[in-house]
Amino acid sequence: MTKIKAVSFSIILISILAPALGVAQQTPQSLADAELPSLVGIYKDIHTHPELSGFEERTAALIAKELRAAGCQVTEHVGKYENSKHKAYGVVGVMKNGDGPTVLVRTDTDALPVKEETGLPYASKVVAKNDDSKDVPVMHACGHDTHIAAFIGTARALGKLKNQWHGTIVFVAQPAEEIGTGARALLKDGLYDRFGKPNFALCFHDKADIEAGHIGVTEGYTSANVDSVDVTVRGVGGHGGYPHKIKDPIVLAAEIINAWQTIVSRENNPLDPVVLTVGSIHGGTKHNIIPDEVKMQITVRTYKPEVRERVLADIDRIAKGCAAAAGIPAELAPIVSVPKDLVAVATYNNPELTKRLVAVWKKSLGDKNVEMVDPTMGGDDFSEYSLPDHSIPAVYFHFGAVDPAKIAESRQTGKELPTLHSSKFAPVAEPTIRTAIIGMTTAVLDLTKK
Amino acid sequence: MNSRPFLILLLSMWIAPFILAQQTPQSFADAELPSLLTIYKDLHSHPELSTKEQRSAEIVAKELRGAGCEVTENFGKYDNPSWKCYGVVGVMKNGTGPTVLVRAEMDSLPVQEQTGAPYGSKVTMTGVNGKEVPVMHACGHDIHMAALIGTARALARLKDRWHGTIIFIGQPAEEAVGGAHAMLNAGLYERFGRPDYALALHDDAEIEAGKIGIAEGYTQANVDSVDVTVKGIGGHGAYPHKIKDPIVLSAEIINAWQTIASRENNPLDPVVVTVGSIVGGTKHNIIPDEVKMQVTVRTYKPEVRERVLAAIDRIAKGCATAAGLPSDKMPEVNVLKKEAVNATYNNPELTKRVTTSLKGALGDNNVIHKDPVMGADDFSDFSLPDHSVPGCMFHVGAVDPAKVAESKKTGVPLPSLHSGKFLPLPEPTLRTSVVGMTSTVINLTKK
Repeated sequence: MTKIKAVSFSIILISILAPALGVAQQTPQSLADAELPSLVGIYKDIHTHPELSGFEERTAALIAKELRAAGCQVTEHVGKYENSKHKAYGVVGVMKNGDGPTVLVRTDTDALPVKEETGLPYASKVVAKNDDSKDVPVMHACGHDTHIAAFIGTARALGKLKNQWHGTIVFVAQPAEEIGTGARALLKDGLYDRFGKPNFALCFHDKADIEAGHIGVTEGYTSANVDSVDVTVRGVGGHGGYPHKIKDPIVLAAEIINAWQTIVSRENNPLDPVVLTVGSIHGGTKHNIIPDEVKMQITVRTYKPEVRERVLADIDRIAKGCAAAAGIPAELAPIVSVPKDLVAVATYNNPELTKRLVAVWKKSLGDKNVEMVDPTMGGDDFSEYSLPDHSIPAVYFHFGAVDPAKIAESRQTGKELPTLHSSKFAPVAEPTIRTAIIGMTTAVLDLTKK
Repeated sequence: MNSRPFLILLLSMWIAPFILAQQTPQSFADAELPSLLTIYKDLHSHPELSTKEQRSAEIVAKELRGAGCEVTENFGKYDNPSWKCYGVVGVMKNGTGPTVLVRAEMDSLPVQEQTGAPYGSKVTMTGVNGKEVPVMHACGHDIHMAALIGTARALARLKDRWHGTIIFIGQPAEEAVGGAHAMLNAGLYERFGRPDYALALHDDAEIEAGKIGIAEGYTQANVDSVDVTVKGIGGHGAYPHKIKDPIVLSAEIINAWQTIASRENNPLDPVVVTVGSIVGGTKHNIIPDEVKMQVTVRTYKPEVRERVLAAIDRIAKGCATAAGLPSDKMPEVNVLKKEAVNATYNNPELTKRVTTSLKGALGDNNVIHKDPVMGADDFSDFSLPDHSVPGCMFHVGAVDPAKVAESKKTGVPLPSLHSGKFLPLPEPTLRTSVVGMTSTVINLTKK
């Protein structure tokens, strides 16, 4: 009897203590595992229903619902665009947990005008109207769907791990990253005035050449300043048989393009990365008429602000110098126009913060699963959250999205893997999302730990 | 009975042959000028695009018939079988003797007339691209047709001064290129006889009306149209090391092509390589897979032509190789055979004879040297590829001398051929054309 009583008592005691013990044992890892089936469901749903930049209505509503359920105070329709066609679908979820640091966690929510060719059962068949009211296929070809799922997973985990941190987490679901206007629209709408200026800003991005399960990060500049430059080279058109009576803008444009190559090779410190790409050139209508002008569209990628300024000035100087050399009169000098706003400002990973997080990840994911990766000349407007003077320390890190077997195969065969923005890019969902949740949750926990 | 009417009749019978004997190309041109001016202005008001010269051809045919020619209409066969060819052939026979071909073009251009002339064209037609375009005789083919008719009328009345056969040609589709080829292709020389000489005139937008310009040897160029597709491997504009950029490669090719004229060519042989259009890419940050270029090539000598076309191909492929393009991504270089025009070669001996007769008819001062140009005219086809039919084209001034003087003083260029503002000064231009062509034909066929 006593024996039975004692056993019963122990069972009762265990059942009473169990939840408390269980909570104490919960970790970002165990929560990620537990939430994974639900999050993969969300991921597939978003993947099937991608939305173009400035049109993220359904996605924003879904995120708002999930953040609310995770315990956030949610504000929808945040953002102020200059383009009147775009509605503000920014979502901000604030999770409060007493006094402590404020950490901003950002996901992007928009998809791309790409026709999906992955063959996945949950592949997108969506066609939507773009800014010009043209029907275009739409696909999450940049993996923002994995970001959203991991972002919700992080909110759920942090909601359940409140005993391990204190402070405020500002979850920002940002639209229009692909066109470079979303972050600016949120800040312009008073993001920091309304929800507090963060002590740290974090964001993650899937990567198409890192194994799922791994995190990759760069110290310092990790993505580039992006500028779009329009150039109109002017000449004096005429009959193609009488070159001496005209000024040929096509030969001049060719000379300018070649001379621009020296911006990288001769005018630049070889340690400062610079890309100058002429993405389009259009001039003339037929063989035997020399046109009056040639139009070019250029993308310029740099890291440092002073390098950016010099390169933009070089583009202008070289174009006008070549025109002067070709004998073009001053009133027909090339028109070089740089839009006032950059497409994207370079993202700068605060070195101290990066070192700190690398140590955190090595502990939570294992030493071998954290790689230092090269910076890219791609752009991301996450940089905006650091403010122009980088006064808010930020880290933008990558999580691998590729089946390790495929990476090994690609190395062996030399065949390139599908890149981000490719119609064939398909992240391997479970390990990718799991690693992203663990990476982000452990990072936030470290920055807000008690 | 009053004998005065009889006396007058007798007198006129006696005087008439005397007047006829005194008739000259000059006096005929003066007498016919009012009628020719009316025809010219009518043609100017009713221009027709290349291959659509139905009305113009009917007028030319009617007038040649009126002048005593045996006329064949709708003569010619285009490569495109759905086009009707409005070629006109008028044969004027006058016993045995040499055969001379005299050619005038009938088509006009998709240009909006801006001359302000009371007889200016207000015509629009459906152009090659299916779009409605304004149409204008901006190259003076209306002058050429009126002069052809005037020459036929004069030669008909001067039959005692020449012998042989004159073949008058109303040629369609000179501007579009293909009219001369269409007529020769339909058996022009087999049906109407192979000429001993081929002649043509063209109005000139820089020479004073009343004067004629002429040159020996090559006067207009071989024209070749070349389509070039430069291939690369496109990708993201931020990752230049992962792609092969066809825009930078095209720029290198264009610059390297400049050395065809400057370094590979005998400086005495004129060469033009013009890239008339370059199209590649859609936006700033995507490197495209290819760039397309359209090139026009102008040369005189056949061997220079061949070398230049080969150099365009060699340089494009060499630059691509230097840029590391794989061999399956070499530039495609296509010479468009159907659009090619051969150079006009003024047979030197014939040109000397023509110059002599022009000087005799117009005065030494009114016949000047005209520099050859790199423009083109398919009149060259009538000489045949081996130049075995001696040909000569001369250029009739069409500009008010006061305007030529003003342009020289101010430096403001005169409206060029093909300009919406080009308007010949009709009377002296037509008169000089009729006198020049008639006296030249008579010189080549004189008894």
